[in-house]
Amino acid sequence: MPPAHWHRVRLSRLFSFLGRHEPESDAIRTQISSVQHSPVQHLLDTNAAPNPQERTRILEALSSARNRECALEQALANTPLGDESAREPIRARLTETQAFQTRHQALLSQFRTLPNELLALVFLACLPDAASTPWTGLSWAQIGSFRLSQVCRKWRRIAITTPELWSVLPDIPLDHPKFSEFARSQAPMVLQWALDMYSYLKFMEEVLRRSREKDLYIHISVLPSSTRYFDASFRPPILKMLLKHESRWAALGIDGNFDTVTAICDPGIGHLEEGSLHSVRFLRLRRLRLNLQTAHNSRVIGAFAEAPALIDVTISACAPPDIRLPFHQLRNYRGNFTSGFMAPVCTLSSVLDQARSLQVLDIFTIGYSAWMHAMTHHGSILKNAVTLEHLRFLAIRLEEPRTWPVIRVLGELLDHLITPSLEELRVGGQRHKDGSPFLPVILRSIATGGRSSMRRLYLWRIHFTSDQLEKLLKATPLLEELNINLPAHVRVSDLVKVALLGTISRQISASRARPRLKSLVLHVLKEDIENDETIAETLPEVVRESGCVLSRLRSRYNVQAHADIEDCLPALRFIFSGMGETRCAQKILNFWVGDGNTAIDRSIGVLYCRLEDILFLLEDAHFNESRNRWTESFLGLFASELNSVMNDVEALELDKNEQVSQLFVSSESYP
Amino acid sequence: MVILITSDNVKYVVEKDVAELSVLVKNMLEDIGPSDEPIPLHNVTSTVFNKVLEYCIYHRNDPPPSDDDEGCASPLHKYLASHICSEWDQRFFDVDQALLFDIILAANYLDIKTLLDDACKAVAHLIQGKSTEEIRGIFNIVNDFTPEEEARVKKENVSS
Repeated sequence: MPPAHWHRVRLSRLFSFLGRHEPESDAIRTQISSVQHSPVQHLLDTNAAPNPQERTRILEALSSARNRECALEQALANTPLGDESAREPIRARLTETQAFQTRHQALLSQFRTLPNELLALVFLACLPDAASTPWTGLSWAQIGSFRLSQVCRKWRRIAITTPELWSVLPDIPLDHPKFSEFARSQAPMVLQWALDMYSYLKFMEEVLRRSREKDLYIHISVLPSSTRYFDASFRPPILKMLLKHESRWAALGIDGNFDTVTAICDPGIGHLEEGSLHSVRFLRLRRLRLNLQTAHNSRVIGAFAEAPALIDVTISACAPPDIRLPFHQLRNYRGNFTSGFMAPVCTLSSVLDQARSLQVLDIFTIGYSAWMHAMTHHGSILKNAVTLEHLRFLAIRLEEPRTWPVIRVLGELLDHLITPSLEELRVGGQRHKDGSPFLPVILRSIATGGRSSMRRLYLWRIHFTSDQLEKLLKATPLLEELNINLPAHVRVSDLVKVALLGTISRQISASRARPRLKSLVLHVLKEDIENDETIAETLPEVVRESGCVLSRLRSRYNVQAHADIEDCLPALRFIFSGMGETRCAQKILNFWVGDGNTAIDRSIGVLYCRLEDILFLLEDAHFNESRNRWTESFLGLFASELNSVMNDVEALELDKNEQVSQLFVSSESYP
Repeated sequence: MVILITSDNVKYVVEKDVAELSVLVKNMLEDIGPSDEPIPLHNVTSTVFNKVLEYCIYHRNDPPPSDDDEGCASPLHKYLASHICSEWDQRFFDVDQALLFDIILAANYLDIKTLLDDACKAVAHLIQGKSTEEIRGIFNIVNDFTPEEEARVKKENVSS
């Protein structure tokens, strides 16, 4: 019901048009002329929380301010438009009243009453998940610690006394002229550089002090082109500072070269001036990531061989020729085995032979030439079958486009690995129109490798037919989720039916329909859409048919009066890795609008307009905002708005009493 | 079944496995043994408890959080955990700020770690990527630094 004063406002507008004023009541005149005083003056301009009595007084004051605001609006409406001398003071009072409300409403903010320990938890939730995701470099901008400590006094106090908030040192360039040049030259230099270096070291010193004795997550980098600042015979001051806290290093990432590793690990470097030889022992180091720009075939990295807590290793870019690690205790190993040297593949051999506690083995790329080189020198890498009892995740990405040699590598690896606990297998190859030779290898390995208990399977660029998919599903009765590229040259809707219903039959009744997988994820790549007419023609059909499949399953659950239908229905998910793919897909899906004559077509047309709006906003953000803001807008708008559109699609009635459901569109790219 | 009574005297009959997601309730049940006595939840109103209950029912079959899980979950598992499950969670936490903070307080009182973590993440999501000025605006926070103090704390950002 509208407030009582609305009627008067409209009337008064009419009066003003006629050049007459509605007479103001005494009460209104009082409201206008009086000055409202805060009942909690002492709380204004502070972040203190009001006590219960003060809270009551604030609520009363707010109520009174709202009345006053109404009265002022009414008075403003009563005053003739041209009479600025009369209108201006009323307008000023109105602004004042609105500011009064804003300030007093702010006093009721729940954030003021949140206990400090809970506020600290919120702060920690703002940090990136450094403890469990693979450790990679981040930017300082992604670490909100400083911003949080600059909001107000209370937040600063809490932030500074929460050491975990300062334990992530995400980006430490060793070769930045700000500090490296100064230390290297040891000579008078440009004053600004000295000041920059000084402030940077002070900054790092402060961060380390605030982190107290907590574990540190450190990422050190050296630019490929800047060896003039840094080499193995010299430790920059920033590194010396970090090494003083070496016993606290829990995660170490190095983007650099062999000399960087030496400078960090070799006790002989940089210690003569300190008078003692300090041995770097990495007592707390649990996670190591090496991303080396160059490989030296004859040099050994042995510093981490006895790190007692090391369980997680990632080695990317140029694999070191000989890296010694405590393989027996490793739980996660992610590596690159792609160089022409045999050593990387020998490292894989060490991993498979010794790392019997392994839970995650992620082979970024493995190349046929490296494999063959090792085979030539060592015979088969895997002489006997290897059982990895605890392995839950296995990923193998193949490097080369030649089909048969790559299949041989994949086959040998999969055939020799016995993985009874495997939950997820990911296999990725290069783009092949005819991917069918891969699937027999995978099917064979499922039978021989004890992988029938697998729950998630990701096949990247390995296309197959619906018959092959049926075989795969039979071999993996527990499979819950299948991730594939949107396949070319096959009838995708048949694949969807097989994946979600377990059969291709068109005649299946609602009562017999039974979900086979919990989730089918179709990754849509731009080149697939743009270069492949089959997909362009198929996509609308896939969406429509998938909707029908899902709707059939929904009917079945409706018939059975299942308590929680949405939990039982499988999900079909399209994943677009970027705006380009999405635009293409939406252009294609626009054909789905049809002739626009049915209610459904009209609804979809409206949804399409909403999508266009979203895309326009994103494009606008792209041109007018910083990259971070744009990414934020992209994720925020795309993920939430687009899925809200898809939720509306779910609500559309396809057939009488049937709806599409569990159909999602995501902006996320995986992997 | 367990009977729980909120601070505004609303009675809930809840399945035991759902109620025991709260460590507070679990401990109380262990202390009193088999009994039909209702358990009072002094610091939680029914409005907030409705949300808490909704969360507990949805997450009743989730594996308990493990301290030993560092870095071992597969990327897909993590992807699913953080994106797919969170679609439900996103909708769940799409509430006004006051209720969100009430959920945090209730989760803390009832000792439901996953709900507390998820609610804190939901608040963190409001903060992430925002400037200090924007954060103040979102939470109605007054900048109570003196100009000198503010200049000093801003200097710390040399690396940002």
